Amino acid sequence: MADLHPYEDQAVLYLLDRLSADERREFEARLAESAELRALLRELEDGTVAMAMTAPSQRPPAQIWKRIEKIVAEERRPETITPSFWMNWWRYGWAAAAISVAGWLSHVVWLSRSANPANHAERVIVQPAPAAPDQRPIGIAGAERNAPPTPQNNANSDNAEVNGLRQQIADLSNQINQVSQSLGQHQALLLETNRFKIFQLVSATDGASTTNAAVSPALQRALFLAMARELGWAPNSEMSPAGNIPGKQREPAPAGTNQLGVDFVDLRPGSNTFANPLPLPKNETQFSNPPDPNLQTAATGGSVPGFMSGPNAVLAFDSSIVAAGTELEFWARSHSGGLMYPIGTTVLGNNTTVVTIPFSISSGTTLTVTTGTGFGASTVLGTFSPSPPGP
Amino acid sequence: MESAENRILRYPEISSEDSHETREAREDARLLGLIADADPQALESFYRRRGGLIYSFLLRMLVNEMEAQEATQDTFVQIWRRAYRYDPRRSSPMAWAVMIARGLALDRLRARSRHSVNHAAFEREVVSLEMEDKSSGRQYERDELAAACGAALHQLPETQARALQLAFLRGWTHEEIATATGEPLGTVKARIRRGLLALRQVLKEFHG
Repeated sequence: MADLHPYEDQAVLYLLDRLSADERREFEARLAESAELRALLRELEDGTVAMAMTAPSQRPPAQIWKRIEKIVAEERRPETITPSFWMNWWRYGWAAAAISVAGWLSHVVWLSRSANPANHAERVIVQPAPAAPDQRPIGIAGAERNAPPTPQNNANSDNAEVNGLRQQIADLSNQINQVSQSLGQHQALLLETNRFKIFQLVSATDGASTTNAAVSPALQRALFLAMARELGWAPNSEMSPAGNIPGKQREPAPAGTNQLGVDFVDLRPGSNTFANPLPLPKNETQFSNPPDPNLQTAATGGSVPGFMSGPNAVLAFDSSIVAAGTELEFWARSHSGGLMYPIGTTVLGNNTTVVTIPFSISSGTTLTVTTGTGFGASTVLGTFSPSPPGP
Repeated sequence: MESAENRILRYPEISSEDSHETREAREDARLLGLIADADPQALESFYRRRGGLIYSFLLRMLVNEMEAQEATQDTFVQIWRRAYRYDPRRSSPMAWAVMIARGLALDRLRARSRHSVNHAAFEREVVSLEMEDKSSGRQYERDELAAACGAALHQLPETQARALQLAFLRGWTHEEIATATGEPLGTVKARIRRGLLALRQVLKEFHG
């Protein structure tokens, strides 16, 4: 194994797709020569399978297979029933025949146009004598119109026009298929029961009574937009900073997406929001500024509305809840007590802000939102303790 | 004379007494062969066998149910389209499928936004992974092998498990991990390599 040493790390990089094109070629050449290196690579690959198996086992929803089945059926449609040899023969045979027929038709059209007295005007144009502009053939655009037309040009242009129209029809047909497919997927999504679970954070001071607090129209709109995004009905685009605090240096708030005047902040792993400098998880007893339910909150009124979407909680904030410029901090704590984990922070700007937080309803944890005062102290804005789903 | 070590490294030579792992791999490879011949029933069988693992893995990577569903769909469509390229001499069927799924998930992670490379970002990713681990242990049904793999991951030294998870599940490069942790690049590389080999050993021991 000693001779493998320089290539051991490269094997990992190769496996994780981290080699440049040149390095990959060089490694593959080495791989072809060395049985030991191939064996090492296979062991590492099996390690990746074991790594994948460390994921919590989840049952995939039934609609996934339905969609796969539909796509596969679409792709198989031109190749139904016939065995592969005959399928290829038919496919290429028909293509060759179609090309032959098209060529033959073009030839016939060209000949008939040359021989047809009705096309005399076109032939006149070929004459060196100047021709009136209205005698020129119709349907030749742009630069071709300035060139002396020939029978071959006319036939070619007709063919090009027909081909163009065919291409447009094919494109439209593809678009219809795509829209139909997308519609089917969205219908399947809507058929899912319990796709969303709506809730409101319970204020530490008001208890459960605030769960029925009125939600401002701006927050309702933002939540509907968030649901549309969760269902894939609204694109994730128009990137812009999430915070919008005039005259103030931006806090290290996460970058987000602004859509229709709503700032979307994503605190899920893999997003750049994890750059937020929150403290490491601590035991509650070590927590330097634990959220104190008895402190006056920075809230200006209503409670925080939100919904669960799979393993994420989605919460909406605006100035009816806390003042613009307030720093919002998100925490999770296990029901069994002890650890309090920071999830992330953001700063409420002038826009309504929707925050997506990784927080599974079945994880047995409590979600807490606090408002930072900028002086190190935190106050609790609200909590959410989902009851785990039944067996 | 061939050493015992080399014999082990030649896995998966097919012996007269195939292990359960080998039989499973053979069945997967057989199905991929049929998929390459455009057999949709073979794809369905492969999905029934491996769809749960791929979906769970993608959910772990993406932490988003919708995206995990879409990525699972994309993975099996890719398996359908690329099965003819699968070479059983080069990789096991599951490794091949897992790497397709991982590549698609990484594309989605990159599309979300680029993570920052600093210690705070590193710690936050780790905390997130730890929270998922804690919830997974008691909330979800886990089969014996998955539980063994999960336990093996937790038995690794913490620094090794962290580096492995970030590189494999979150798409961090070795250099990014080294920068964030302030550790030498060579150390990070070695940890990831040894971590993968240690997990592979669990599979091997499990299947006898």
